[in-house]
Amino acid sequence: MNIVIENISKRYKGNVWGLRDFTLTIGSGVLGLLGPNGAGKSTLMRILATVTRPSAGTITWNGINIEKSPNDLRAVLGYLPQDFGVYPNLTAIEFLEYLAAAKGLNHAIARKRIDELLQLVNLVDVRRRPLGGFSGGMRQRIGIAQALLNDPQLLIVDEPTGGLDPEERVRFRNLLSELSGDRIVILSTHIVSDVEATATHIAIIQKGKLITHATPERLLSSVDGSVWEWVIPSAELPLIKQRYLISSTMRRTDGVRVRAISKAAPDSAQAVQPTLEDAYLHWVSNHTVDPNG
Amino acid sequence: MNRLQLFYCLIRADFLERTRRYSFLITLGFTLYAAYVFLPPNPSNYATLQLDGHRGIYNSAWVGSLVAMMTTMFLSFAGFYLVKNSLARDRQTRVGEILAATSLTRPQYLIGKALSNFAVLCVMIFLMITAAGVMQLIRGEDTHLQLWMLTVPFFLITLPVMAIVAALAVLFESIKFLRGGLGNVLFFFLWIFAVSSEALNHEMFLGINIPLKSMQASAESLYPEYQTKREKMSMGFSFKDEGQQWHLTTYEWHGVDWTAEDIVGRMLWFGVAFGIVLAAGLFFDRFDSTQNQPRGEPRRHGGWVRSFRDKNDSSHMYPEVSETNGTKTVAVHLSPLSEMRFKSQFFQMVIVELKVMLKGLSRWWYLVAFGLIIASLAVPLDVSRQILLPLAWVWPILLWSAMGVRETQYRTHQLIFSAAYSLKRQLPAMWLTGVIIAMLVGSGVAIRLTIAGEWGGMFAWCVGAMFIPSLALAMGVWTGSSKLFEVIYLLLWYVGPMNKILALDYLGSSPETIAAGIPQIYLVLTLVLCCLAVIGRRRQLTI
Repeated sequence: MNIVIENISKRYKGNVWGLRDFTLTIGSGVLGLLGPNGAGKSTLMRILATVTRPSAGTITWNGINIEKSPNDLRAVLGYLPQDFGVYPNLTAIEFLEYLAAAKGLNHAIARKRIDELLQLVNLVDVRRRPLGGFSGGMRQRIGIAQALLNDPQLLIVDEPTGGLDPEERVRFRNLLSELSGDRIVILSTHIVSDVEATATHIAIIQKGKLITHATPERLLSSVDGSVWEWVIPSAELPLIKQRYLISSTMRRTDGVRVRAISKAAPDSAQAVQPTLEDAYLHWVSNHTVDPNG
Repeated sequence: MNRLQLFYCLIRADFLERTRRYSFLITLGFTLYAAYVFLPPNPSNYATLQLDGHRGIYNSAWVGSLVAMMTTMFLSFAGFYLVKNSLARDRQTRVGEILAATSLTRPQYLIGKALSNFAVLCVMIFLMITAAGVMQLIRGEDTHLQLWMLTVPFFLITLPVMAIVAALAVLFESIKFLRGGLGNVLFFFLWIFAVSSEALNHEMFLGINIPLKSMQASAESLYPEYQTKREKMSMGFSFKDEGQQWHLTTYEWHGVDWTAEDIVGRMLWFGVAFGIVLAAGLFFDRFDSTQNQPRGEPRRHGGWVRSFRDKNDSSHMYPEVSETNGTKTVAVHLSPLSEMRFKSQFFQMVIVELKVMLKGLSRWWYLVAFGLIIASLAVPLDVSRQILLPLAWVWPILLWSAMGVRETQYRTHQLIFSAAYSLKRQLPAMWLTGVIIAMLVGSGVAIRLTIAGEWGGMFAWCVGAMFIPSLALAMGVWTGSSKLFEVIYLLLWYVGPMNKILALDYLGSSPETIAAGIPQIYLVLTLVLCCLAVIGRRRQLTI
């Protein structure tokens, strides 16, 4: 099971490129797609979900060109868009029944599946309430449920944890990890901790281009020995910010504790274990070296 | 920021947002074309204003007045639908919520919106004035351009009407149940009433009778036989039968002698428009969509307007649901699904489409529909076909107008379009649902036709039942809005079946229509519209 993206480009009006010459092969597991706002993540998700056509390049799902035969992929696709709506007059069950029918699921099977999914996303108690009264997080969970209706082999989730409370976020992360065994899950987000918890592979995208694709371990090793922490007087912070790539700062009674990414050790700084966030910052600010070699 | 600056900023932002759309350019193109067709040459197969076979020569006075009158009549209708989206856009984009959190007052906001509506309509009118001047030179009957004579009718007749239209658009958008399709339908009848009253010489806000009476008086003084045939005048598009032409006798008309009373009378309409906008403030919820919401359980039948009206705001039509088991974490097993369970499930799709379409309708809607069916069975067949069938087939207009639009308006398109075989399954299911609705509501007439053995009528009935949802679906898919279908269908319905214009009688409501082979034409049209819907949806699926 794989999805092969070859030299995909997407050009919008006004010669704006959403994606440019993007190539990537994705196998089973969770791929965390990271990138800053406007990097092209959602464009890629929409193309993979067959709701947008690329301007150039090809994508194959198990050897089948998805642009020529989109229904082969759609039959096994679960898609949670970044921005979607619901029919406010329908209840959760009715809405999921509607989408199950759109996906071609047998009605009796769909009902059983819907019951399971509503338990999974913790919406059993409100299943007969119109969606118009649902909060943003609850709607997001309806979105998650609909993406799983057809037991998808390819699950594409675009910024899925937006609007979820911390508990639901953890629950969703666990669900993704459990689901990833024998299917491809593509998780697009700019929240590094979501990826940290679930991804088996990470792709970082910036300005429509893939800047790296690696396992989390390899990404971490790419900044090993380059992450430093030290305490400075508050007044020096602006200068330090100019000089180093700052990962985080924390106010303390004796000044500001700074965490920075730098090849050379700053004065009186101690080397610390890198996090994925450090690696991500390193790659989006300076992407000249590929950890894969 | 003083008040003037505030209004300037409000109008400017709104005006630019609208005029930077391609659709606005298309509208301007139509405006120019309208100026061209409003002034036909002589002879021509149609006339836009003829007074018992007479008309004025195309000097600035006649051209200005005629184009102003025609513009007033048509733009008071189309202009309303064109500008009635200003508050909706702020709701949809959520800019409204940001504005609601500022010190902007309701009247300030609504006046700004009304002025912006007015500015958009003014652009079209100024374009029309320019085009009228150019057309006067092109027709060449009098090449002496008199700017004053050309423009005054626009300022005194058209602009006050546009102010009313701009204000009404704001009022309709402020009143919850008039925001959506129901408002569109009600305005249509309001406009029909205004135009009919004008035609009956009652002075309404359109003001068309002022120049018309002057033109008639002039013709009367020049042609003694004219007076007796006054009822033979026509305004609008009057076509001659094929091969025949209007040969109009021309005379010189020097324009209206505007009295102070006339001018004050017309200017008063600006005051009325202002009053309408202020009244709108009483209904405007300032984007607080939780206002006046029922407490506790939502009503099961919340009014037939509910499903259609404020489509972008409906997310807040219900009381917020709070979670009761938020802390519960349940380990759940998901049953694997085999591929054998994925089939076309077309009829299941039809059932769920029907559910979506009918969800939220009130008992009253069903009661009226049922009443129409029963009445169709009870009255003589001719009455049933010619009166009750048109009524039955306008009643579900808001159900049909949502077809092909729902996915875009509720932003469910990505969920639905990413499903397999959406084009083969969901679109035909939606179409069939529309046909089922038409057939059910019109079933009384169908039973009568079957009993009477009127198979020609039955054929026409079937074509009508397929034509309406096809038109709705094609327009919905291509425009992404229900408005075009609501307006076009009402016009077609009013002019065709209601006013017995044979070629537009898509219902086949009379034996003459059937004898003329009109249903066959609509059958072909239905097929064309279905193809257009498929092409449009295909395009949506592959963008």
